[in-house]
Amino acid sequence: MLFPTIQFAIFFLLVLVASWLSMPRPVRWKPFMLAASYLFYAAWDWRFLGLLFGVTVASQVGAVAIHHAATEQSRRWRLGLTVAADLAVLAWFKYYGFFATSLANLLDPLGLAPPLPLLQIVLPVGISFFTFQAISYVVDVYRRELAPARPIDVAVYLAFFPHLVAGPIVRGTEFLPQLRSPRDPRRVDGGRAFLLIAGGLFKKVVVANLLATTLVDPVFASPASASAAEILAATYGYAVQIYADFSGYTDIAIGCALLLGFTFPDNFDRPYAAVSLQDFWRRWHMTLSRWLRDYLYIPLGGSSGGPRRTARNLLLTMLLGGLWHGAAWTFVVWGAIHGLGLAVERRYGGARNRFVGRLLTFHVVCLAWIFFRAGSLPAAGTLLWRLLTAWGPAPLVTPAVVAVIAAALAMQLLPRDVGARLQYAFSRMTPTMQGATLGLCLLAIDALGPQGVAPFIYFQF
Amino acid sequence: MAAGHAILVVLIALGIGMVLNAPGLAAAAARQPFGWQRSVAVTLLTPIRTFSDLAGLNWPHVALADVAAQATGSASSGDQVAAAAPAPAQRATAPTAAVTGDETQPSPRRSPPGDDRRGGTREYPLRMWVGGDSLTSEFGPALVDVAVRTRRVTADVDFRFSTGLARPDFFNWPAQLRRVAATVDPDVFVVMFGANDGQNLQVDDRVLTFGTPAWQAEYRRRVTAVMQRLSARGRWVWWVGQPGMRSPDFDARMSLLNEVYRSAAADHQRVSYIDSRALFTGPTGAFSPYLDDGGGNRTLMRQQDGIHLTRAGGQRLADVVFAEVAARWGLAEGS
Repeated sequence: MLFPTIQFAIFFLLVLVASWLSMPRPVRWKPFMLAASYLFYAAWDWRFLGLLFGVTVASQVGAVAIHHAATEQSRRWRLGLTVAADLAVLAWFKYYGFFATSLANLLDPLGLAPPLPLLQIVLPVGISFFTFQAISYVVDVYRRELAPARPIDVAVYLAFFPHLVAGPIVRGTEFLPQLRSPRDPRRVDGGRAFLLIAGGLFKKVVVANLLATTLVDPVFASPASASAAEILAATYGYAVQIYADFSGYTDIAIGCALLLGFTFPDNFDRPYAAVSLQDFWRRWHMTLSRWLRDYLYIPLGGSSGGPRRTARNLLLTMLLGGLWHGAAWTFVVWGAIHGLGLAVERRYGGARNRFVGRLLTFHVVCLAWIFFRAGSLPAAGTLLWRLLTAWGPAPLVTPAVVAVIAAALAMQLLPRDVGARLQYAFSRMTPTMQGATLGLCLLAIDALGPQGVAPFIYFQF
Repeated sequence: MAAGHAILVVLIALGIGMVLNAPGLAAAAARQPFGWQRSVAVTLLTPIRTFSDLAGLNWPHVALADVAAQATGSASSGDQVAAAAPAPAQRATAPTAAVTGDETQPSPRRSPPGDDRRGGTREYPLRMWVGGDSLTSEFGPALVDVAVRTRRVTADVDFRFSTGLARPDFFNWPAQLRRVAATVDPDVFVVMFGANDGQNLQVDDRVLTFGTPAWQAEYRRRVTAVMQRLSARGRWVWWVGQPGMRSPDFDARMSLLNEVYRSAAADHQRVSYIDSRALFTGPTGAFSPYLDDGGGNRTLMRQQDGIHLTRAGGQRLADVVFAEVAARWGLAEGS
């Protein structure tokens, strides 16, 4: 059930009404919200409901076991087992095929039979997100930042449908306290919610889909046929597309959660206005970068072990961050570019001039996006080679796509309070005017966007 | 803002949005597969669309869609192809209108149309046009890449998700192909349909159940009409059949379609059927997602749905198809 569909609109309206009706009685609301979230997930593939339930049970059992452990050593063991169980699920579904084929191809020249069967395992949607949330819950309990919650609360937390399939990655410390008491029906942050939902829909349906179908997909599908100007435009276009696609999704998710009375952390903050890579990662997929920092980079030693160890930790963190997106060498290179870039910045400092820093950061990010989007390393190589050599006509670079890319990048430079001003103006309208305004937004989104909606890019991760 | 206020705003927004977007919603409902869900959606949306039309509230949608279509160069709402079925979920056209793999060359000359088409040289590059449904999304670009590397071919690819010959109300491929034949006039068509055609057909007010003799006769009529159109004026057509599928039921449906393509192609002198089934089966003849990529490496050829091709799978199919085209036109990569 994709967000920008009439099916989701009907589902959400029904859930919104029933949620607020049942909210005063948590014994009704929690099972209802759990059922609604499981229904939402079952609409993707009902077979994986058991997986979601299993991850929930394993994490809760682990968290309780850690909490009741008598010694620190026992706590560590129990933490290790629980995190290993969560990671095993992720590894099986996400990396088994890559591992088994790599092993088979390694042994084949030696005349050895593949030791593992070559299975094609269907990747459950959202698995990277809910396993990371489950790990954060268990680790937070281990760190004594959180007490084990009630099982129904943990189940609602992991399955809550607005963030279930593509984030943002909400931590237990951020969400579980909100379940302790019913949300106040008199204080719904509707102004922000509606603007986030309308803006998110526009970014996804109009901006991301338009750039994907008219420029980015054709160029990345046929690298050998694209001219330098087309590759340059498609690279900038992909930077805008993936931002519009992913931030659009999380804006809608945050907006829906707000209407249901819950607050999620922000996930994007004008990332292409970043003046350094470190600044970029404070603005891009903020909930993932926080997760990587707190549960990977800092446990590795962070920046406390001297310049070399810091560089190593940055590189390892970003390489694993790349692999989180998928088992492919293109993602490894993407992570390596960011890891090396961060290490170089840390060692030598960023650009002193903000304009130069912004320009440099954006182009390093774009270079990494080429590997992220290309189907293979040879394809990425072809794109980079032709970017430098294939001078020729660029029929795909139309005024419309140039205008969309330019406008989207220019909007990154708008002050942060523009949203707040719009929100204030919207909140002063009557309900009828607010509804009419949003109805007109729906008209513009539906009419300007291509027919049909492609799945969100981050669903595949 | 109170929760009731928020719910009221949602209701008003959805109500206004539905009325203003009634043409698009009604068309989307009509495009669903025949069945009770489609019937319910159409029944519910018909009065809303009627009200929208009568009240003249549909014009902003039409006007905005036309503006968007003009800006992006896609089919407008009044376009022949899109009139019955608005534009598809995704579309990709390779940037190859005049690309031969060597941008330093002057624009290629056209070979003369008719029986003496003689494309396939640097002077007269062969004009290839590749089209089809979502299975073409990996195979088509791979074929274009292989073809343009010879520097004797120019190529375009156009794939549209969820389309085929069964539902011209969703996307009218015959009309689109007529337009391509008239405007691009390629020397060679390579087409791949079928993955979305294992469904009932509607003819006038009758619904023909998939697989029945009446269904087969109607589907064969549509395939034959496309083959005739594409192979006119001396053009050559390669019609790519469906690969084996993981689901036995779906595979059986695709086998039936392949038989229609094979027998219809046999009746046309310039239409060649390419059997892709054997390309994607393992040693036992069964569906196999992992196959040798030709370099001794086991590679994933099929996507997780057991239907679509990965890029490696698309490349595998493209190599075979291009070998057939190259053999007919005396092309060889890099020559």
